[in-house]
Amino acid sequence: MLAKSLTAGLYLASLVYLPETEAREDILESLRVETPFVQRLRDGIDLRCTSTVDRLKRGPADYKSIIERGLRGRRRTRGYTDRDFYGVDQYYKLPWSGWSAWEDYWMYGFNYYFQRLGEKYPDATLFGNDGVPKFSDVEG
Amino acid sequence: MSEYPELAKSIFLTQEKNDVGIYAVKFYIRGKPWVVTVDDNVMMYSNAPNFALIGDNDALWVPILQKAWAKVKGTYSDANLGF
Repeated sequence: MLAKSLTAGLYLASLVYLPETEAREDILESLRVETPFVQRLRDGIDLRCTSTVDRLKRGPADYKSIIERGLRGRRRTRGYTDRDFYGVDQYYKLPWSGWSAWEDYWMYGFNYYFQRLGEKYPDATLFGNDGVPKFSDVEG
Repeated sequence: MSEYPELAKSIFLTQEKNDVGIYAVKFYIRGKPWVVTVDDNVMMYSNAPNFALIGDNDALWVPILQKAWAKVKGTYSDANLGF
């Protein structure tokens, strides 16, 4: 993980500090070719920007009709899944590992997982039981 | 926040929790309104949301708002510190 961070840092630093010459392109290309992670990082950034722009052009989901339609499937349990935030868009940063994709989280065991807030907290409401939005984090 | 709770409420176009788990919020970015929809699927760590937690009054709006802002910025990482 440290090597990934160093390589990514070197790549990003090269983008900033190397003058725009053919040598710069050679150095950047060598970093990309020799380290698949940098390639993935670069592709990820490119794809992320593209998908974000496409998403903004497409606009938000029709949430009113989705809510009216309700749960779907035989057991009527399938909720809305936001595909805009799936795959290449889903990059996170851990303090100790630099850039990290969701797939990297598997390296930390099964403590990380995805779950719907509605399932996890069935009794919770959007603005709290008192209906007054305030911000005070609690565990659990 | 404590003096103007209605401001936080006014961001949300969906004013109540729904079974489908879709929420719409409206941001103003460079003066233009942007409606962003997200689902309520968030990353958990050790039985709690990995990023923003729910409120002590069982309020879900903070992790949902955080996810919507992360969607605007592209990633949770880019949305760090709210910039």
